Amino acid sequence: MEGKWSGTMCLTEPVCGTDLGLLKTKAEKQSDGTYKITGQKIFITSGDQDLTENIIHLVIARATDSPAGTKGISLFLVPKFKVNEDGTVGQRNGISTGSIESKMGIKGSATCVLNFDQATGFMIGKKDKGLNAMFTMMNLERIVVGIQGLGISEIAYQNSLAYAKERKQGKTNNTKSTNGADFIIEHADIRRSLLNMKSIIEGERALCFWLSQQTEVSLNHPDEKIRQEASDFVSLMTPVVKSLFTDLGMEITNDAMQIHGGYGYTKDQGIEQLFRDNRITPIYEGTNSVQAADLVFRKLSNKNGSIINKFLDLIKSETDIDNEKIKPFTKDFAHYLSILTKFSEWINEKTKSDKDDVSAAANDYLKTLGFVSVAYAWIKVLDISFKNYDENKNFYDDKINTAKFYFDKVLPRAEQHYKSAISGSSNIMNFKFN
Amino acid sequence: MPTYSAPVEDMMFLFEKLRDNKNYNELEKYKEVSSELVKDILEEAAKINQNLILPLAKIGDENPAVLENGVVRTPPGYKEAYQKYIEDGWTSLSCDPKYGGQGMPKTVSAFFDEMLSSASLSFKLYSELSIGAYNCINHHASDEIKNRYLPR
Repeated sequence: MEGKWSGTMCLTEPVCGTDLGLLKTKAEKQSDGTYKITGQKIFITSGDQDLTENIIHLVIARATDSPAGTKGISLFLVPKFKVNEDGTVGQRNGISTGSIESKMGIKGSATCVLNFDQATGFMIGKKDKGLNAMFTMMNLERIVVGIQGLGISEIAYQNSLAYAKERKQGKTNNTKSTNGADFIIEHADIRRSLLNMKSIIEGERALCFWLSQQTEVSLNHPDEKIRQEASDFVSLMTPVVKSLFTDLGMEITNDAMQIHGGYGYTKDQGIEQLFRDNRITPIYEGTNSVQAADLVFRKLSNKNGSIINKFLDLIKSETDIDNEKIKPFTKDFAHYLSILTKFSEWINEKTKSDKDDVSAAANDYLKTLGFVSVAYAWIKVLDISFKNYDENKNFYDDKINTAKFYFDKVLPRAEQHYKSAISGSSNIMNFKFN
Repeated sequence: MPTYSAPVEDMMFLFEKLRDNKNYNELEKYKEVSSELVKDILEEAAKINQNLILPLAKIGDENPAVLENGVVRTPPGYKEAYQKYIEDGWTSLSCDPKYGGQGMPKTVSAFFDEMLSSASLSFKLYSELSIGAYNCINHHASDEIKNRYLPR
């Protein structure tokens, strides 16, 4: 916690990525209750570094007497250096770094191949329940990966805005300049692109704030029932935040490069690096495909589908606001909420009859739920903006106008995804890739 | 190199105004977390991210981490920045005060996560999983392991 030691998460092996049941690393129990861990782990972020005096690896492995598949996986704490009785750093443990990956982005981060050779480990949690313990770590981590996409989007937007204000190219329809060109921020298409970024980023930040509150409630509220309900909302939104924010991070860094033109494509401005650095975020911590499958097959069916219904009830009641100024927004919102409701029922029906339809619709469903959830966060922001308008007119005008763009130009994507999804899966599954 | 100015105003707007979650408002442990305190934290966070960490993004991109004689060497400047980063206590923002953390709610640590992601994702990743490991050990490990590993 002081940061003198650091932690890693060691799951992936050469033939075991998304499907953890294929895991090979083994753990042999010793007479003193510790285990000897042997095997190879790959793609380990910060697997080794020279920043901290010790590294605590959390490793999943199969005890020698455990069954095959995901039911035989346990979690172990394996330190790079063994820890003495008095807490000081002792002898080197049996872990070596085989190599460092050469990557497209996040090059400053050491992504390592780690070889465990009879390394001493301590079991954490219950035997064969390692994945449960690991998921505590992964669930919170997935939200943070969504936040990474948000953070990279923000810096991409800031630099695009600054560049658009200083770069002159071409004349606008209503140009007043008599000699030379207009600033590109005068051009409608550049303005559209900038507002697309801004309205997504600020909406995501507000949604994330709401989710952080829910996370705290799920961990710390004295009432068990309230804790559980918050925990359900967090579990529902985790794949949404992870995937939507990182996918939109790709869109936003891509658009930032476009606004910068040739200067964005070359290395000078550092814009292409944002695109490359963000590119890992839809991949690691469970690919966005896996997130979408997790959403439709697990989160929607857990507790007989009651979680999504509770969420729909919550956002319906919270967006029913008695204020004339917010009416145009809430009316619009109600339309998209009804689409989300229909879509959720469609998934629920199809899960019983045609799983391929659900698999083919998973990504679309995640997006519809995501765009409507961001709109829900915007409604909260709008409510505050109208109520406190006179306190800070400039700030709240900015919010209201940004929300207007989101509702007019971004939120309709929720409907497109629904239309795409209900076309079913025969268009995909019957195709012959010759 | 891209410039960055942390969106503290927008974050403070959320923290101060988006307070309609009754269940959250009932949490005892965060009643003392005032707007002034959070504003101070975010302004300090803005400084370290804008000044110290932002330049590490380009440095890391041009001088990737390398493996030499079995030892990993991080890019130039990462070690010094990491020292300052842990001295200032940024790794333990949302951890339990019982093990030396600062006990901030996740609403605040999420703002910090965002700033750090804007400044340098590569640098961020050196401490990110420590928080994950902290949570995992805190929830599932024995007290003996907790007391031995968590304070570090």
